[in-house]
Amino acid sequence: MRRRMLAVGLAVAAMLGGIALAGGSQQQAPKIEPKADQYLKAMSSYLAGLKTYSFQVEEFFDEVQDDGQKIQFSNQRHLSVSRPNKIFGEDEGDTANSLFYYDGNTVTVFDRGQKTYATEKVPGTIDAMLDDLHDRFDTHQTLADFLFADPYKMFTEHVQTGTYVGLHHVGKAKCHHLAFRQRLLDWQIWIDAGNQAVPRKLVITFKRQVDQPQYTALIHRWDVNPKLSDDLFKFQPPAGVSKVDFLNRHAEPKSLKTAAGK
Amino acid sequence: MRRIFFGTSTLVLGLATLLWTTAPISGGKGGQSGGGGHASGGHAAAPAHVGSVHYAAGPAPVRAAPVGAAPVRVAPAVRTGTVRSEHYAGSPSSGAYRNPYRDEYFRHFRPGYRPYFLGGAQYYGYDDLPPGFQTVVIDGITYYLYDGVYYQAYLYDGQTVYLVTPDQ
Repeated sequence: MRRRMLAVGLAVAAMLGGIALAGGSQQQAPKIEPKADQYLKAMSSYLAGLKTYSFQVEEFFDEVQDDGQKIQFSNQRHLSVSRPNKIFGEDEGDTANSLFYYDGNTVTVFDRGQKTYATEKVPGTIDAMLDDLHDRFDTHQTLADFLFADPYKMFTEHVQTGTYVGLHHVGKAKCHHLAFRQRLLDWQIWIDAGNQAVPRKLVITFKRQVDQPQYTALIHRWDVNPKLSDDLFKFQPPAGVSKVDFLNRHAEPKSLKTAAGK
Repeated sequence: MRRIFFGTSTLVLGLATLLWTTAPISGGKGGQSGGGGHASGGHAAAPAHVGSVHYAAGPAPVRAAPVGAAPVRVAPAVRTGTVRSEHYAGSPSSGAYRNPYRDEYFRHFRPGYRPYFLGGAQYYGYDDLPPGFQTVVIDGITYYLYDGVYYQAYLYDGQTVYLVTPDQ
């Protein structure tokens, strides 16, 4: 009987060890081919070294219907960045029609279609602001990966493997095509092989979701030294617009009873 | 005895590995919570429109798929669902969400709402207000009223959302 208990105990220990081993493998150093690592680092360093930059994005993403049919939507976005703490974004398309202002103190999002805007005090760096928006309001700045102070760190934090696919085209630009795998995502990036190591295309495959929808961004019209006035990042509400709150994932809205003081 | 031990250990190890490799798969469509926005939807993976490697690998979104046949404002997704089956109350500790709406109030909700998971409760919201709504100001807060249902405007992920205000 004692032996049997010992055996069962050891089996449980083996199970826990197995789970720990399996879980721990996520934290193993990523296996990135040197060439892929080199170009990802080069792009990240290049972006991190820019004081001001702007680019345009044409994005496409799948929405999988209940019957499995994939429907693709698209948006156009324009982003202007002044490191370390200013961003202006302009979005227009199938699911977006808004302006985004970050002036180092506050973020304002203006929904041009519904004529509403929300303003919120946020941290004083782009990295901290993006995380704050995500944590409190479940809001993601598109292509945030290219806005962080250390893009390489953000890109590789969950990477398991990285491969250099080859020299491929995005439009007329020759690019280093890299492919990465993570536990929940696969993603590919095309980095300009010319003098400016800027990203030209990003594809994310949500491989753990049913039917594996994709997000694709074509990134063009890079300006790596634009003159950006401080006024660009400050929101001035036009006449006839309404101020509302951001939807806070941690806070429940007031009920009518509470609002009416009943 | 030795056989039992090795057999059990191998089985348990195999199960542990299997659990780890399959656990994160999302059963939902379109990166959402399962085609209905049920209470468990708060644990779904990020939707495909999240154009960021960093944030796409993160936790669940607040918003789930629309329920009913009403169209999304700018992207008319084609979805159907049974409204009543989505009116679910549970407790966050059991993996579900509290329902802030009374049954009588909920009966007036029009189709096409989306569940939003806020602070442990499951709220409902729309991309648009119904035609013919009235504007009502209570204690300095602007609400929109139609068919006995109060809505309040919020900004979520770059778009205006009209959340149904609880009446209790």
